[in-house]
Amino acid sequence: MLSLNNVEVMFNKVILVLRGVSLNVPSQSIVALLGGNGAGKTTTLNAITGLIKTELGEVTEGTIEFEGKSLTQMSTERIAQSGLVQVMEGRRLFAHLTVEENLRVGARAKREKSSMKKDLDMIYGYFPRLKDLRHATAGYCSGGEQQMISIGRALISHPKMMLLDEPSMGLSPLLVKEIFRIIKAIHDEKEAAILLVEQNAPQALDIADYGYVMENGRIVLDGNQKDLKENEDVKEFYIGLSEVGKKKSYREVKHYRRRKRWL
Amino acid sequence: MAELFQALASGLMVGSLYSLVGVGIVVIYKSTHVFNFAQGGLLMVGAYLAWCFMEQVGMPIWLGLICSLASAVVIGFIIERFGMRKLVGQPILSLIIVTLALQAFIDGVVTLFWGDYNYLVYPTFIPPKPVEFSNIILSLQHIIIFFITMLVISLFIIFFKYSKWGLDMRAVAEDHQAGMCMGISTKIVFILAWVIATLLATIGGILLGSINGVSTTLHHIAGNCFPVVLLGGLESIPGVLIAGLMVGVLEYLSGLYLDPIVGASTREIVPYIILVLVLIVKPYGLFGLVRIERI
Repeated sequence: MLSLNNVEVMFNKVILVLRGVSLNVPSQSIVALLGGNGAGKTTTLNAITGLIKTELGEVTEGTIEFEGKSLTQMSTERIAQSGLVQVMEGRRLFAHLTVEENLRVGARAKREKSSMKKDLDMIYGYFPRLKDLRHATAGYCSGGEQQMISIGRALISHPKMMLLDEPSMGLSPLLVKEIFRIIKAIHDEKEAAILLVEQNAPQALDIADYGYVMENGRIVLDGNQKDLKENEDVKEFYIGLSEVGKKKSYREVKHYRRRKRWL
Repeated sequence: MAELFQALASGLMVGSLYSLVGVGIVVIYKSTHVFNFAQGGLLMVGAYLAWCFMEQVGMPIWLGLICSLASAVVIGFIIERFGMRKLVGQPILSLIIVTLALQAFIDGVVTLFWGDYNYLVYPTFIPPKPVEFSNIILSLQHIIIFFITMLVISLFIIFFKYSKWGLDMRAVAEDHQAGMCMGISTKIVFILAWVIATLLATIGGILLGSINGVSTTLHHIAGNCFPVVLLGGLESIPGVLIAGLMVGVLEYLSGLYLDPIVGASTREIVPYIILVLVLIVKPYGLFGLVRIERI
């Protein structure tokens, strides 16, 4: 459904951030994109939806295709209207608007006409908490509630595919579980494909079908959920275990350095 | 007593014009974060264009009004499309400086075309009749102008609060990137903001021109609109409405009571004194949006 082929992204015409990223998200699947800070995960998402253009970045090589159409020349709003919606990192709510107004704005990316009331009810079905808060100012909601608004705002447009950027950021472990449960439910019921960017590897791999690991602007590892979970390197660097059950010792830094080079 | 009521009436009338022009500044600020210093210039162009259509071209009044409003739409579009659009993504200060340049440019163009024509009078479309309540004499013109501006501002508030476009504008004002991700075209929102601002400025220009006469000093009204906008809180439309009326009334009251004491005209400085006093107590202005910061 979505395929990136050898994508290179350059900022300011000098800084090469993505160095040939290829990934593929089949329809109705959940794909996880893992990696540490600065690996290029968010840049990958921003390259897909064209947001890098607002940050003086451009795709200098490779192709990005969604349902067979190239996205590189399309504007962000057109991409959103064609059913590919990004939930940005850090929630990015319209803080002074009410919860319901935030959701209404999200509905602007809808492709087909459907009743606003029904759509809002659908969102309140997934996030009952938001129904009580619908006239509250979004900026004053708690972190978990804000994340729900942010996902609901994308979901209300019935997207064919959602790009979720770190939905677990800044949430308590219990809330993270809850959010992931809802993401899984959304995926199962709405049959939307999801590209999930996460630092929380174990949680992400729990619900994903397939995963990619990024480092330094490259995909260094990929495989289906089972293989990745079993993979020694992933276990070590992203789940934090050197052998199953044992905590990783940070004294073995040398070991870490040596093992880090996959390609 | 009669003097007081007349001062109040004139103050409300002038204040409503401040609000009208101020709303234009607020709309642009809210959606693009640019403070438009050229709002006074836009007002002057609007006033001159209306005069040009009615007197130089010789259109009937209604057609002249429609044409000047239509040209306001075109001017707003051109400024955004060929001026501001090119600078999207640049530091906000350079965009603000561009509006200063725009003000100078408009000044130059108006002087070039109509520099010799000062204190022009429109054909009367609002009868300058006096209205008498017991012993208080008010100008019918002032009353009508007050109600027209209030009507325009309320229409705009309804548009901004309840329409789909209004919601888009408020959303984009908060976060351009998130707005784009939701499928809102920021380009259309920016054009809309500039078109609305020029429209409001033109309406203000025509109204002001019909009482003060059209001249190259019309844009000085903007000098009083800046404190009004800041007083209202820069981002609040009801705020700018109330601040405008307040400044207008206080200006005339100070003219009535303070001038004899000071022995000079205090009108010009009153808005700024109020501004300083209010900002000391309320740094976000009367109705400004307090930045939501959660720690």
